Amino acid sequence: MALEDVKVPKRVFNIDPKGSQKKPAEEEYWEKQARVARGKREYMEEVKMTERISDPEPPAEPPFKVTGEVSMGKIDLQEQQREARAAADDERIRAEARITAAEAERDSSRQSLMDAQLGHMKDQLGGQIDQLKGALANGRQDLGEQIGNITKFAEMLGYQKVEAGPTDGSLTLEIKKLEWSMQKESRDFQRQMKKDEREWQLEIKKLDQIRIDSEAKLAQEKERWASFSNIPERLGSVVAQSMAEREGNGGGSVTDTKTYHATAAEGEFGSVPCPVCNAAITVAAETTFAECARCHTKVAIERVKKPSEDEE
Amino acid sequence: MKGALAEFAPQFLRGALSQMLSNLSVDEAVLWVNEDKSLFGEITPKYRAQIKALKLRKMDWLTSGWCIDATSERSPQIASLFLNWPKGREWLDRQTVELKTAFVSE
Repeated sequence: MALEDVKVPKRVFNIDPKGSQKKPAEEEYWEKQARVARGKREYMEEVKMTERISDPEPPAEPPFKVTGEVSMGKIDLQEQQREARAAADDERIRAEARITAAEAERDSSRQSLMDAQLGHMKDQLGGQIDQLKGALANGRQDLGEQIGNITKFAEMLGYQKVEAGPTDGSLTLEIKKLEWSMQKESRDFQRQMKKDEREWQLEIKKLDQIRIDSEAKLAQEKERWASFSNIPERLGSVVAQSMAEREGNGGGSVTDTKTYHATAAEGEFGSVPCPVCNAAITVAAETTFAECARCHTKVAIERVKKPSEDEE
Repeated sequence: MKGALAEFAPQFLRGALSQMLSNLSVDEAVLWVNEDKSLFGEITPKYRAQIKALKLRKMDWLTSGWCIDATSERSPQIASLFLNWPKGREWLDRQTVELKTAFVSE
């Protein structure tokens, strides 16, 4: 067993750089086979070309051959045209003859029909005239109706009614229609006017109501604020009154020292007039002395018994 | 301006009180006293706001006597009721205190 040289590093994979560039064996094999096949094909083609030059092939024959002939006869196109034209002329002449005969038959039929109609009308008219004569003689039928019938039959015979003049019934009818339409429009206009007037009156009433409401509201507001707006005026009057009273009383008390007497029912609130200023003095229940709030006059209250219902 | 307006506060309140009590009957006033009704509660919020807007520092002048005097011109019956009825006077005293508390600004 050989000793391993530990100083040389151990080779793990033996990689041959040349071998790594080589193609795989199978691929190399098929490439070789292809080259051989190509060489064989080129060789065969060269051999064929050489043989063709030395021994050229005969030209190819058609598969089958038709022989024989067909005779179309003698064709004269001008002669054919002439014959065709002659046949067409004959046919046209025959058709014209048929048309002439049909027209003659139609005319004769129309004439006979007109004769028949005329005879029929004459018969009818004669009958109507006879009937009219009979009616006139008997006086049973309406003359207007008979005239209408006669006119109708006369129209059938070709009688043309004279065109209506400017005063005929249709124009009168048109005028009537126009007048009626104008009257209707006038009525509608009057109705619309009345409606507008009514709406206008309602609108005015509404506005009036709004104005009244606004005025009432304004008056209410004014009254509410009157106490504030009149303060300076009131203040002035109060001050002036107070000063006048003080001056009048020599700056002394406004209280009247004289005692007045009044009567009130027992145990009830009452009211007595002030003997000095005539202002109402409220007398409380059970009190025997009252003072006027305005002039401070003192009033002695004499309580009297309230008369009972039995006494009354 | 506020100070100037505050000078007119007594007249302002005098007018308001006079107006308020002018429509009051004696019976209604007696009822108010007996039920101890709040006078402040009868003042409309608008009036209250206007009085509060004056920013009054003190209202020493607001007494029951001042109220009687204020109403005596237009409503002598009501004024004499409070003047001659002790219970009514007491009620009016209480109301003035309440009004002062409500309207005087700190």
